Amino acid sequence: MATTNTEVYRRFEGTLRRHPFRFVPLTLSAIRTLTKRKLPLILLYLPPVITTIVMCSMVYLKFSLSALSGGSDGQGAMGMQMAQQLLETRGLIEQFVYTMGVFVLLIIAWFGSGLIAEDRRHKAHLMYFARPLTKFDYFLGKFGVTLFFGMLVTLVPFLLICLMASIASPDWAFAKEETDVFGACVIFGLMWTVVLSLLVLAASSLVKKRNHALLGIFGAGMSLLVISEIAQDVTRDARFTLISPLDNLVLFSEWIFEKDRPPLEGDPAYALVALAAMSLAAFAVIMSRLRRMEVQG
Amino acid sequence: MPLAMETSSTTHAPVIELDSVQKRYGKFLALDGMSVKVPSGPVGLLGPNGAGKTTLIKILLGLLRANRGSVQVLGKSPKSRAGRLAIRTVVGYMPESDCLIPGLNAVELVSTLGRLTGLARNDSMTRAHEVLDYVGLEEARYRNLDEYSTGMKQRLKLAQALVHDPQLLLLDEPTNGLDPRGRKEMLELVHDLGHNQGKDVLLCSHLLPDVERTCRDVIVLNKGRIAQSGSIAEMTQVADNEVSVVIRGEVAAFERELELLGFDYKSKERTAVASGGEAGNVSGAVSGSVSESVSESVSNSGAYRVQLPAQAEDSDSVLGAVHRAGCALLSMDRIQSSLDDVFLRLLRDEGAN
Repeated sequence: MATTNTEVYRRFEGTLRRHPFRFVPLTLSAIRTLTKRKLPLILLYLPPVITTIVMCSMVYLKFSLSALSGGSDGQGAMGMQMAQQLLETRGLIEQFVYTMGVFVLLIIAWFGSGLIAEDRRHKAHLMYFARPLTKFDYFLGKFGVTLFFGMLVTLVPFLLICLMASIASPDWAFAKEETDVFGACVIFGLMWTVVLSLLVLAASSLVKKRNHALLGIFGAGMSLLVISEIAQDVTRDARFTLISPLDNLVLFSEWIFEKDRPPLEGDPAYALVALAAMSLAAFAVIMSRLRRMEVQG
Repeated sequence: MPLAMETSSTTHAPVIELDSVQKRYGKFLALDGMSVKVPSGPVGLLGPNGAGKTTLIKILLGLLRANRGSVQVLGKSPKSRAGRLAIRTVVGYMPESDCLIPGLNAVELVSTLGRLTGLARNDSMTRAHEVLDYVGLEEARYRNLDEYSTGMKQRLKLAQALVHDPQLLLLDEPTNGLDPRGRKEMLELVHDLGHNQGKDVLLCSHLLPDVERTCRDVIVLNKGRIAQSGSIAEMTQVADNEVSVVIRGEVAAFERELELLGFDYKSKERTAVASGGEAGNVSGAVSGSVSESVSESVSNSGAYRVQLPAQAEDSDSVLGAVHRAGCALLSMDRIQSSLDDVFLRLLRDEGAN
């Protein structure tokens, strides 16, 4: 018996199982670690929380106040008024969703940039890959973290505001008449979160320090945006929006919300293809780096 | 042909089998056609820095791919993904570098790694507490890892290697950066695991006393090759055919007898006791022929280190010399050279070659 303490070594009598969702502990552990630092959480989540509360209140008040003021103009006028309110609410939600796009970029960049870089810096991947963990499990574990933080600022508030609009509207009119807004919100949330997560994780896998990854993300993002703008101005060709991931995200989002006059010119289908290509490239970079971390040649 | 380590444990199936394993980093040859069968039980992997110890451990785990040769760990090959995953389930790895994730505490880290190995949630938590108790981190288990000392980090790394109760432990420099007390305690844990808990341990170290204290067998690596392998007891015993003799009586007569036999000897210490009863110390190493004449009227005791000739089958001739000199034999032991001596001699031979 070891004399360093009074405890004896106990054998494990149970069995080891190969769980299909082996990445979950990795995700939970990273979320636990990241949420221990309160200041970034407060700074990054307080503005979206306030925005969500304000927008939910505005949506609620819009229906409540009109219910108080209206009532004597006849069925036709009421119908017109309701249609107008639903349209305005839809506009409010679209505005809200676009505002959250900025927050999701900041949040995923902040929480995702260190996920692989810091593991490489501390060589923690040696302990992970000394376990029966594949590189895909590891990827899913890290991807789950960015999805979690991204969804907190996209899907959760989007569904909340849609729910608020549905409850506040008479006879759940919003849920019945504007069903497509629910779908658009979900697609917007998933698209932004998934694409940004992949880009941020790719940057994180290329460096060994989180700050370098952050610099790379914002540096590359801003550079591509500027290059795209300049190229469009010089050539008068809207297809140059395709080189900027942010432009593509905005363009595609406008399409899913069926904006009549989108501020960006370009074909949403091409934007979708460009986003898919960027995501695939990012995924390939991540997997190539993880392959080197799992087994070196 | 793989070099089988000739030990008592070779009757069991080897834990690790390497056959002509070669690993190259660019032009640098880290492992040069290494072949060995590692028996069960505690085995030391000894070698100077850069000998290829860490490379070998990583190859065993499948973290590195060998350029040539075959590797079997507990009957599985790390070449295929299935083999790698199977090996990683039954092997506990304690890496040399810190490898710890800041922001977690010990329980969180160990239980997470337990779950990744396949433990259920409750089991991983129970095991985390058990192994942290075992390594002596019971009071610090909820402290943030950032506040851990080097000794605590080393213990934690051992705990995470043990969480799934693996059959084979690969310990890479477990005493690195530890103070003497921490080192002693870590070695006690390793010794306990290898000798009392029935674990197969491959202890990778450049510190000879660590290996000597904890392992039965040793593989000595140098420049990517196996310089020697076998049981430590045998390796140190056959190194020199020397005996330590302590006698009381006429030491000069005993020394004369040794010279007549043609034995080399060293007098380690002499105590001369005058007939009047006063004791004086006449110490110092005396080699070869008789060096000091001691008065016949003085009764002496002396300790000698006698080198037996290569052809001497046993130490009976020394006993005869003691008898003929009229001395009393107080003790006689075969001298074992330390692993240090063996290691240095091997490195010297390798250098000469």
